[in-house]
Amino acid sequence: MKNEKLISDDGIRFDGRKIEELRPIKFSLGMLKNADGSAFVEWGKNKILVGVMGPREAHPKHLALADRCRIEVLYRMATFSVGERKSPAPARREHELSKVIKEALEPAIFVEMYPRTTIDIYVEVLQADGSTRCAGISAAALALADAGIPMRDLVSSIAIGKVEGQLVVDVKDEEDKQGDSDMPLAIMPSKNAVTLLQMDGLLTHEEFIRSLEMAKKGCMEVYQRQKEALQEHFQKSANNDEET
Amino acid sequence: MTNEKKKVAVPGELLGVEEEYVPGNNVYVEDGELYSNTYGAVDLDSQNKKIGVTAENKVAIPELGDIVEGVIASAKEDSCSVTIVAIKGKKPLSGNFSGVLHVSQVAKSYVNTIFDAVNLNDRILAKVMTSWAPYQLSTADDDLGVIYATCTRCGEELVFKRGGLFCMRDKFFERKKISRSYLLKEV
Repeated sequence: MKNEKLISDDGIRFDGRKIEELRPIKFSLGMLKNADGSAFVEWGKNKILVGVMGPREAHPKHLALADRCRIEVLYRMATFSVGERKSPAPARREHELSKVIKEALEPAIFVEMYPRTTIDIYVEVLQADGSTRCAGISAAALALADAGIPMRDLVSSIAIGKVEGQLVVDVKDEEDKQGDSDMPLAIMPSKNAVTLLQMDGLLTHEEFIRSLEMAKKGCMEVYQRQKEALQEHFQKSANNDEET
Repeated sequence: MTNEKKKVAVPGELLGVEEEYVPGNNVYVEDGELYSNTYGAVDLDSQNKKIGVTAENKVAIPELGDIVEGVIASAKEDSCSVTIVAIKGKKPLSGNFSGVLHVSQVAKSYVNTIFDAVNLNDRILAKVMTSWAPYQLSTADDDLGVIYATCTRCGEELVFKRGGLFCMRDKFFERKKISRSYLLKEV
């Protein structure tokens, strides 16, 4: 693998995608009975399940915020989600991603509508193949919508990488590990507002500007998928109502 | 239901501008533009120029005026704490809420101590009087109060009989603020 080229001379990536092509993304909603809201995403080989509970009373009580709802995110990778067995203990990376995902979602939620309560978001990565935080954020936005929690906007997310000197959209695991840079972006699509921007590795100023453009385009594509999933779910539940 | 496809709004979907419509349910206004804050079907009231969204799912949280079901978790002379386990007309809760019932809110008439109206582990119907936890509750209305209780001496289920709650085993009446919808009636 090490010596193989990740991008061929005619601009095709090693998994057959073009430079600006996303992996196939499929969102689905409402499959969990006991959670208030849930979503599942198959994003290439990523498989991520998100459950939302709440708003409910904050416990322990001293953590309740007097003027708004507290958002609590738990990002977790299953022990079997990566090639080598991952220790089931929460790792530093998982703590960090929980915080980052929380901060990416919070601006989209009307937190001031439910003071002194908590909303719990559980992001369970069942299978990881790069850009799991982006897939997690996009799926969590749908799970929140499924729970009926009032939101300013959905949140869509994608990562741009630099691989062998070229900028590519939607970074896969191998590209992330062997590439030079990884830049996840999350936006509120209809507000055109950035809620998450990270950068790992090095990009020149020009590359950064171009990455941002590419990421925005990618996010809009993810947004389309999210909207389709919501519409499909609506039709399905409308049909179920008719039958009963 | 008709087969016609209803327009579905997702959170953050632009529905129109303020000059066009009056914001209805689940709509928020930002910079003069109307957006949906939830996901569901769009209802357009073209007569009143009002646009709203019928939420597909609603958050279950006690609100002012809601009727809730609760269990008495602890009681002292002047008040008791209530675990709210369900809200009338809303989906099942994913966590309990806490409420407080003060002796002055128990009934319309004077009640000396809480123990003249409710006791530990009684199931009650109550009305929510405040907007955040711990929710202040009231059982003053006729259909509010105890809906299920057990005997404080033997634990036998109390039965509604001749306007009071009666223990069949110990043959005595317990004093309670009884709801009109008490569950066990004398047969």
